[in-house]
Amino acid sequence: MVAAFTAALLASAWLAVAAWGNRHSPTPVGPAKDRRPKPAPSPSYDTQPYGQPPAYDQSQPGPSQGYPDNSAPQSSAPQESAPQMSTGQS
Amino acid sequence: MNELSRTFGCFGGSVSIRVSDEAGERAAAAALHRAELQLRMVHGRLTRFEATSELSRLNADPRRAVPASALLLELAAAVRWAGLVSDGLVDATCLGALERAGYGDSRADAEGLDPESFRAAAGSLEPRPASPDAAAHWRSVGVDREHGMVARPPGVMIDGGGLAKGLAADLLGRRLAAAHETFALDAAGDLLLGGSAPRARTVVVRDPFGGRPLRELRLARGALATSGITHRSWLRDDSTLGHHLIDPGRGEPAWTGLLQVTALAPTALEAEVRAKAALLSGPEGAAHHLPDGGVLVHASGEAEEVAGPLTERAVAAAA
Repeated sequence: MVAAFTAALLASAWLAVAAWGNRHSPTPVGPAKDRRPKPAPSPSYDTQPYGQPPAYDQSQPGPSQGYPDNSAPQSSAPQESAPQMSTGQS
Repeated sequence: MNELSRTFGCFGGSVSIRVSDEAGERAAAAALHRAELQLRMVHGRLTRFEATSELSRLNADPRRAVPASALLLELAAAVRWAGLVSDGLVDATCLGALERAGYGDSRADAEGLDPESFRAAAGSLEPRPASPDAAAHWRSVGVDREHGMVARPPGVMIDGGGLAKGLAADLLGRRLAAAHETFALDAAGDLLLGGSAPRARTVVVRDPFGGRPLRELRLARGALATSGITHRSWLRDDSTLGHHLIDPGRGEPAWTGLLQVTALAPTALEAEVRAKAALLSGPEGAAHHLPDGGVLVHASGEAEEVAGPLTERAVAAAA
């Protein structure tokens, strides 16, 4: 008897809360499936390393360890000399 | 094929881009225009010196997880990666210490200390290798690419700094390498070279106090970055040496006995991280952080070359 009363009380309370929620919904209420909350962002953030940074021109690896051969341009056509560059603190 | 070039101010310095395109000069000119727009966009979003930049808004956001653009996700991932590969020395979450050291505002137009003032300020310091921060806040920076979110404890702030510059160079370099015969990008002292038919170029390493060039290298593709403590140096209120490379363990500007380090690497981001890690390690530990080679400049001004796969070939070609 008590259990049935409690269940009925909870059910009516839930209906009241749901009705209040619908009245105060800031957006039009769509079909039931659309009212489901969107899944929260995954709590498991990527903790893996950044990964191998993008390597350039991987299609033309150098002669060893995959590094480019800087001793000469890899083009079959001769290249003009390029202007000198410099590296330093900014 | 002639290269066209374009020079403009960005990343707190001067940026120069050179491109050649087999389709002709109009195609190269269009590529340069797009490249400038891209770099300015990256800088605008990732600078900490503009309160409205995406990075500044992230740093001010009280939420633990914050929606982020693909670019900010890349920077957050780079923060973690930099911490991992540098054993915690390149810690982009030391922004509070950086501001306390006197680098709260951009010093793009400020002159560094002259050699005499710098040596006088550094002379009273005992050189010692930097150490990682035990709290390692960089480990708390999380990236959720699926939902486009960056997470970190509120109050942990990120300094884009050199990471943003390296990231921007790599993003642009990927595009230029795929579409153009040659390209050379000088992003405020950090270089990225390549293309489908790259040219060997002479690259000189500048002196930390503006003296004669220290070394000459030959490279066709790859990256170089230089990090140092003389160009952006100042005297703090207590007349001690101030600069922008923080020892994470002490939360103070580092003095390791090195003035400047140039690192070679396959990418600009890696070169940037390697150079900083080597400088923070000091003369004894620097080589460990330069797997592709580099150039150290000691407190005495003496330059020392660290051999690696890239430098060996570069030096051989220059000989």
